[in-house]
Amino acid sequence: MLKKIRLLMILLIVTISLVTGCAGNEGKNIIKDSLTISIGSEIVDGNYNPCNGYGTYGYDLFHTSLLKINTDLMIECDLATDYQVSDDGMIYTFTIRDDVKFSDGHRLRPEDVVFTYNTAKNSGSSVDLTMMEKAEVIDANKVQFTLHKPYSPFTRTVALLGIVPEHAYKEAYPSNPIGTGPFKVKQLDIGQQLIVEPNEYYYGNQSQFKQITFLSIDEETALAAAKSGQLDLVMVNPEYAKETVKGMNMQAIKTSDNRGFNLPCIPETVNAAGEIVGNNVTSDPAVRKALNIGISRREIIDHALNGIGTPSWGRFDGMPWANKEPGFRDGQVEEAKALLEEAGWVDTDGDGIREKNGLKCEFRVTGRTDDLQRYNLAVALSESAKALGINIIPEAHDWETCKQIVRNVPTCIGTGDYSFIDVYNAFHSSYVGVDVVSLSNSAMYSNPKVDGYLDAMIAATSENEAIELCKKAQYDGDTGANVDFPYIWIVNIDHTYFVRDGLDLGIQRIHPHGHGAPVIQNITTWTFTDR
Amino acid sequence: MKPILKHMIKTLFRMILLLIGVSILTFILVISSPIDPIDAYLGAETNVSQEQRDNVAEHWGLNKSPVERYLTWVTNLLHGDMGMSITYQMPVMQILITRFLASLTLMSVAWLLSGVLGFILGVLSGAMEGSAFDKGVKIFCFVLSSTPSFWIGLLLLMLFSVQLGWFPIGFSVPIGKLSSEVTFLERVHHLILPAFTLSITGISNMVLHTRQKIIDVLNTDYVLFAKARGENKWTIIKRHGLRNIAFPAITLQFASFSELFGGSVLAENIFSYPGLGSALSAAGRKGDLPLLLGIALCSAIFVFVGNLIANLLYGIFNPQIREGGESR
Repeated sequence: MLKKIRLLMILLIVTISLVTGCAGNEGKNIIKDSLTISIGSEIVDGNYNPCNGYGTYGYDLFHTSLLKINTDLMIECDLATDYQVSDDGMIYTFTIRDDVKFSDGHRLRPEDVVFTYNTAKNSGSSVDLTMMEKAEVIDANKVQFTLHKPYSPFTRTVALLGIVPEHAYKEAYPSNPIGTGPFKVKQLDIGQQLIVEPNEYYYGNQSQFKQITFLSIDEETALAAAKSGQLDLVMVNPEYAKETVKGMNMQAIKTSDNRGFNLPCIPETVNAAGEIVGNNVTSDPAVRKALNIGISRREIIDHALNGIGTPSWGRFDGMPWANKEPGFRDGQVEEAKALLEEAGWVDTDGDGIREKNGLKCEFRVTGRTDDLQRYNLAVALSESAKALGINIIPEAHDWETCKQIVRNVPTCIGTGDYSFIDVYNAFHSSYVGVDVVSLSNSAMYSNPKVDGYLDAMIAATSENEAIELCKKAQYDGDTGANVDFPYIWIVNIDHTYFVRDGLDLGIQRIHPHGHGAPVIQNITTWTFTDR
Repeated sequence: MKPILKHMIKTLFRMILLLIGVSILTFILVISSPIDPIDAYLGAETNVSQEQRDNVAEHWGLNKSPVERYLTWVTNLLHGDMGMSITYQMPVMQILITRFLASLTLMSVAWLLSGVLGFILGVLSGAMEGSAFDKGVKIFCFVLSSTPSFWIGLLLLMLFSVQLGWFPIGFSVPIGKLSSEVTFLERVHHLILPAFTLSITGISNMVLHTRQKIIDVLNTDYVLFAKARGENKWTIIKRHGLRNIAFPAITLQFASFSELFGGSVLAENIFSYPGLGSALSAAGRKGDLPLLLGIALCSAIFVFVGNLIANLLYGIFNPQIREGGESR
């Protein structure tokens, strides 16, 4: 009996080693004309339909749009040769190139553009075309969009919506896209890998790689995967950025993906729904300013984010519409203390927390439970504020709860995409009403001058005009959000990757909000330099 | 009506009741969870306007009352339409079919592994009670059943895939290879580590259970009689032991179907294996109601069938139960 069992065991071991031997080497030798990359699981989900929201963060592999966003984050023409905006800001007319073909050889026509926009508008997805009334072809080679109201960020919406071919748009389109972009799908194993190859009809800069494979790897196993040596680029969480991997180097890419806290600007009150909105401590401008100049952002980043990240001074750092004036330094503990004393916040009972008219200088802040980083930031902020005599109480709650109480209890928010509508959403007083439930302007900040600039910004007929007005809304030399401090911005997250030695990632446009996927936005310019 | 037919109808009825119960419970749990599917779908902090958010809610039927949504779902289900998954933007039925087959391969291999290996180890260990081998096996099993399977999965991955390079780091097919060129052996190669990780949960149960049963059998009177007749230990086990412990072992095996399903969620995530488990965790994170309901029903049927087979086999193996039923 025992002999039989022993025989069985030996047989088992032999079979296993045979199998492992036969399966052989799996691409351990990276050929220079193909790449293997891991940037998260979304790219392998098989949903490549721009009408359903694919590519709205600017890294569509298969399609291009009428306009594009260049490395300075400004608008350039792409499928359109030029565009005009009417004086009332409600009609946009684009002239379409006539020399572009889809990846199946069919010519791009203006009708495809109209089809794309109408389909996207009714798709119930993240593509927001609520401002568009209609899209139509005019003069055989132009497309005209009529809006319900002036909306200058429309150019940004246009730049982030890829064009799909009307003739090839069927049920299975999401996993089999046919676009005017640099790549087409070679093979898709949903949930596992996406293999792409260059689109021979692409009119722009062709990639030097014959094949690029995207893998979906669980965040926790990404580091192990990097160490296996089979990948050329692996996105990892910043916690692992201090690890070393043979043959690869760590790169941290700057982003506009920020983290900060809203500071409610009105005193506490109860709204019609019985919810408490406003905050009696943060509604004092002296507290908001003291916090902004008194804490140390570098220290907070070191404690909460392992040192990986860039201090953030405003909501739009890194974007062309950021206004750095009047600017300030942080870590000014004495000046902050003086500010608070002057405003009447004094520590009368020696417990380290200031009081004013019987009210303690303390308030709760929340960090959402599904993103540990945010709670860590809340705790680090609290530590940094102690030196000023302000007691911040960090709490962790699920996102629904954080959102519900955000207008009374500040939460750690993050923004930063490629549209300057964010400036409007940050400061406009239309979001300030006590009964309004929205994340927009959760600081309940209102400044009539700022509103004036923002209203003019929306009605602007050119991007340059709109961007100038965005800057004025932040600071026009006299007043603005930059001196009222409705928020306290702490850090711009860095996206961290392990990159194979010798792989050059080209000039990276600043990454928007979201995980590390945006690194592929310029993948056609990546090259292997000689090692 | 023939008793067999009656029995079948009763079983079918019980299964339908189970499915109804599971679907209602799942529905209530998902609805009361703090995950807002619109936020999960759009991203919590995008600059999408409130108007568009309302459009999304209406498009996916998210703004109706819970009762209405449940009844709509049931009506569609009876027509064979399980709805659209908001996570994968595909019909739920399609997702279930492709992923269930993948998971099935993984789970059957793991199940066979834990069953066969567990049984063998259990018998050996029980027969050699008190020996160093037995002590070793016991410790091994206790350690295994107390450690989380995903941790073991990660360890296996780090050791065999990263350090030694014997196995791939995940997936069901080699990286960068066209599916037309993938061989059967390669598929098996990719299956081994995930199957092994998944079998860990079931193995220690089986080993310890079998071991105890063998020890019990070896202490009975009829075995004492056999020993007195001069039979050696291994013949006794073969003749008297195996048959007696076969059906508890088999019942245990079939009942472990439910654990398999739960364990597959973790194993599949570690190895990026595209089965129902990874779909389930993605759906859970996004509050994807149709997909969650679909998977819940799928797993309920799966477990029910497993237990049913165990019941039937019990009857087949054990004449007492079979005859007891007939005499009624």
